Amino acid sequence: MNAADLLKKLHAHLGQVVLGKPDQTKLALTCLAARGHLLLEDVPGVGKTTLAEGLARAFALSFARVQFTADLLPSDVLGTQVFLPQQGSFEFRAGPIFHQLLLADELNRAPPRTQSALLEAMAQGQVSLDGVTRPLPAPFVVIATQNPLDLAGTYPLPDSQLDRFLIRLSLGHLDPAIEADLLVSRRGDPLHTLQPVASSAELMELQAAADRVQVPKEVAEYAVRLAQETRTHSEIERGVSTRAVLALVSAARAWALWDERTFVSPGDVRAVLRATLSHRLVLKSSLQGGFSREEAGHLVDELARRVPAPR
Amino acid sequence: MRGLVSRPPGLLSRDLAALSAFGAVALSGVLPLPVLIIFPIVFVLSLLGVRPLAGRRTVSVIVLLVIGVGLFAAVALSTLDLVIAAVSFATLVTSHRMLAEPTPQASRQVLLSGLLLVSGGAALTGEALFALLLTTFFLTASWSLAWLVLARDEAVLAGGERQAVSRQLVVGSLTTLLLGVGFFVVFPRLSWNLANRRGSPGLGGVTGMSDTVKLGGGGDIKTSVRVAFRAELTPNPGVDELRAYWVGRHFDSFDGSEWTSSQRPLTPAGTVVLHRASRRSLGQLSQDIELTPAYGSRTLVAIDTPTFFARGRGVSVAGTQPMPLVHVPGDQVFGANEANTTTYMATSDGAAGVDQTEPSPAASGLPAGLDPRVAPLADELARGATTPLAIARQLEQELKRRYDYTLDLPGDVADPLADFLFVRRAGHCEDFATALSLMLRLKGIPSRLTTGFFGGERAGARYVVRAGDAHAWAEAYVDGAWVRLDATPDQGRAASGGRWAALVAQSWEQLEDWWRSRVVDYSFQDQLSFVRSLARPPAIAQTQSSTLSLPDGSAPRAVLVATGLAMLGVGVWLASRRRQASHPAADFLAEIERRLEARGLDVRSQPLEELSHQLSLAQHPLSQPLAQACRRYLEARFAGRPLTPAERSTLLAGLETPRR
Repeated sequence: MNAADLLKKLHAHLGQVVLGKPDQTKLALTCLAARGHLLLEDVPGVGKTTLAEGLARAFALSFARVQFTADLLPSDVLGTQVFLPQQGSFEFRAGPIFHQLLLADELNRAPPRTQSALLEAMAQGQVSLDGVTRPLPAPFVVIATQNPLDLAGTYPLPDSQLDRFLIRLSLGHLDPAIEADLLVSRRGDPLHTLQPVASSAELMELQAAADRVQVPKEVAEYAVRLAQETRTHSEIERGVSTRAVLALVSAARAWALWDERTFVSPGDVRAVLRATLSHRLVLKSSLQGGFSREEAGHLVDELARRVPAPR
Repeated sequence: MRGLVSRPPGLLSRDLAALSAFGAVALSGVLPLPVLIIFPIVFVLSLLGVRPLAGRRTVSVIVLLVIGVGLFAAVALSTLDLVIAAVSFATLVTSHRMLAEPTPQASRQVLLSGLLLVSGGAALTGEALFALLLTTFFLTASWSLAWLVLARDEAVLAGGERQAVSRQLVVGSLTTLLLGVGFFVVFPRLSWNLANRRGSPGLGGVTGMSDTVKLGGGGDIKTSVRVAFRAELTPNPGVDELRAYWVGRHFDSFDGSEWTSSQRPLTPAGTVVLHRASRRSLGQLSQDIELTPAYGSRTLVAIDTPTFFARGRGVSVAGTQPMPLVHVPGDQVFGANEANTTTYMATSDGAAGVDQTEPSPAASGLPAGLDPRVAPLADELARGATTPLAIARQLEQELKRRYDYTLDLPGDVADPLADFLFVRRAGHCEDFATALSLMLRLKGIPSRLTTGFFGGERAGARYVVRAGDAHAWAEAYVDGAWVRLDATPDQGRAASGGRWAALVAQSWEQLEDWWRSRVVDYSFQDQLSFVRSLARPPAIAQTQSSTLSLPDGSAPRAVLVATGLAMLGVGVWLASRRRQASHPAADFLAEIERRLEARGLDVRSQPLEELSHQLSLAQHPLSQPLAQACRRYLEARFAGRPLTPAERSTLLAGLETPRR
């Protein structure tokens, strides 16, 4: 089965549990195929957890969910040395991070120390504890969620850490018609009935396929022009970094898989542009107190319209 | 569809291009009157956006074809010149397309027929004004074409980029124009006036250098401002008004209404020596003369009294070639071959008594039907004078005093001379000269009629003589030599105008002089010498006399070369950039977009990939073929898998409107 067919099958499969969100599901799958971590940012109850769990089940990944709270310690995530009196020695008890897919629910509620422990593991793909480096399982995906509205008692992620997430998505409320259908048809938790359609090995094959996708020079230049534009835009305080452009292009690579292409087109770049760049921008208005994610998204959309694509 | 306000910018330049193309032909004055009237009306209508022929294609094309058949039937019956018929038809086609729907196709047709008009104009006229119109046509037509291409892109038209695009267009076309001039100067080219037509009659008559001089004709030639020839004099007299007599031909036989010559030509030769120069005048006047196409004759002219002709060259389709000269003693010197432009060198001696040619018997003959009143009149006018010279002078003065100058003459009278002397008592130079010659003969003095020019205005380094300066005078053989006698009142000698008119005319002459020497008569030889002079600058000694003039100064030349090289560099750079910018597949994309637009899809607001995605979501009937085409475009554009022509047409055909 080739990459595009696999992705479409997964997409259709996930569509059974994540209703009415085809675009977001597609981006989430793209994120996984690009070896990226996913940040879901939305109010509770719109299906963030469902999506994360659905992804885990569809790929038959080992899955752990951590509810981040203000008193969560790094060891609660990474694991800890436990003294075994019988043997008189310490034994490492792996934390939930040693799963292929970790759902970090309400990441911004955890104190920065815990956040950074997680984010470091995300970046390095390994955990170093007490001088021992332990590799994380492969594939390794973190899906974090944030509640953007309920900010009381939270530790917002610093920009540098937001940068670790390849894609940020918000699911948004359901279309009323679909919501009504949901009420009629929903019997129990659909996640329980969701069968795996792919293996973790297949996910790694997807990721390898995405790595093989070529980036034409013109398209690379286009991506750079887009990034350049964020750096000179009058409403943007700080434009995106080179890491962000790398993220943009690797997401675009994975997106090209959907179309069975072996190269990235300008359209691929535009398709993932908003999801990969909008959380990496620091707007002038946000410094002045206003805080609008939508605004960043609109700015990115405007860039896509304004910067001429190679023809 | 669009109102007058938001008319596409290409349309105005298109109409202007058509107007200048029409002007280039109309300039020759050979267009039939109906065509001359129709086009301006069409132009105004098109400017106003009135297009009566829109939607009436069949009928109007049939009418056009009928007119075309009529025109070419006239050619077949040799009542109309082929080139004139062709340009007339092209004008009508242009008009027709201008009044049709303003589609890009119609615009392209207008420009194409405009190009035909311009080339027709090149065959019919070589005026400096033509150069102006040619340039205008070139600029406006290129802008129009550019807008035709750009008009596909609504974004360019709608936004403020219109100005930027216009600026680029202007810069681009001016650069091309300059490069074109450089190309013209350096590279071999075709000769001007391929159709080998002489100066256009529409701008005034050609000069009266014919084989006979017939009295009774009108004097309309005197009003012509067309340049008959140019002369560079050495030493340069340095005056603005030369007021010189330029001798063309001598006629000795008069039959009552017509002067003819009774002389026989000698064998053609490279040089012709007419007379020995007098010993008294050491400083002979040397002239380098260029007869323009408007001159319309092979007779060579030179300032009175010509002594020597040499270095004849004819510029024709074949290029510049040596022109043998034919001497007809007592009559004229003429070039042996036909040419558009003839150049030669002549020397003249201003002293009296240089021309000592024996008069022929015909120079004393009187016409059979001479009016009996002429002899008594001659006696009366010459009363009191004794020597032949005194008689001649007195006759000259009396005629000048008693008779008026007029160009307003009736067409046909039985005896034009009697009509002049006794009825109208007014005439033009030929009447005065004829009367004087015959009176001289009645008094026993051999005489002849001389035709040529009187005048010469300074234009740059040279003097120009116009067709309107054509003149005729008498010569008397007195004391073994010919003496010039001009009985024509002063106001009738040369064409004259106001001071400002003269100034304007002079500036125009200068421009035209430049145009002629640098463009029209700029020959392969000139190109060779230009290129040679680039490689090997002339010695200082040569340039000393004229360091200020452009072609000889080495500093301006260096600037010229540097500019040329810089422009070449810029051109190469622009070309390389353009090549980089446009990919072969981009053309395919444009074709896809054009078809989608024709199917009513909005291809401007979003890129093709997004549109394709949307259509497939909406299950649009075009989504399948579009997805294929889009995919192949992307592959061709970004993955280096070029389209085959067959593939391309199959993909594009999938996007066409299905045929019913």
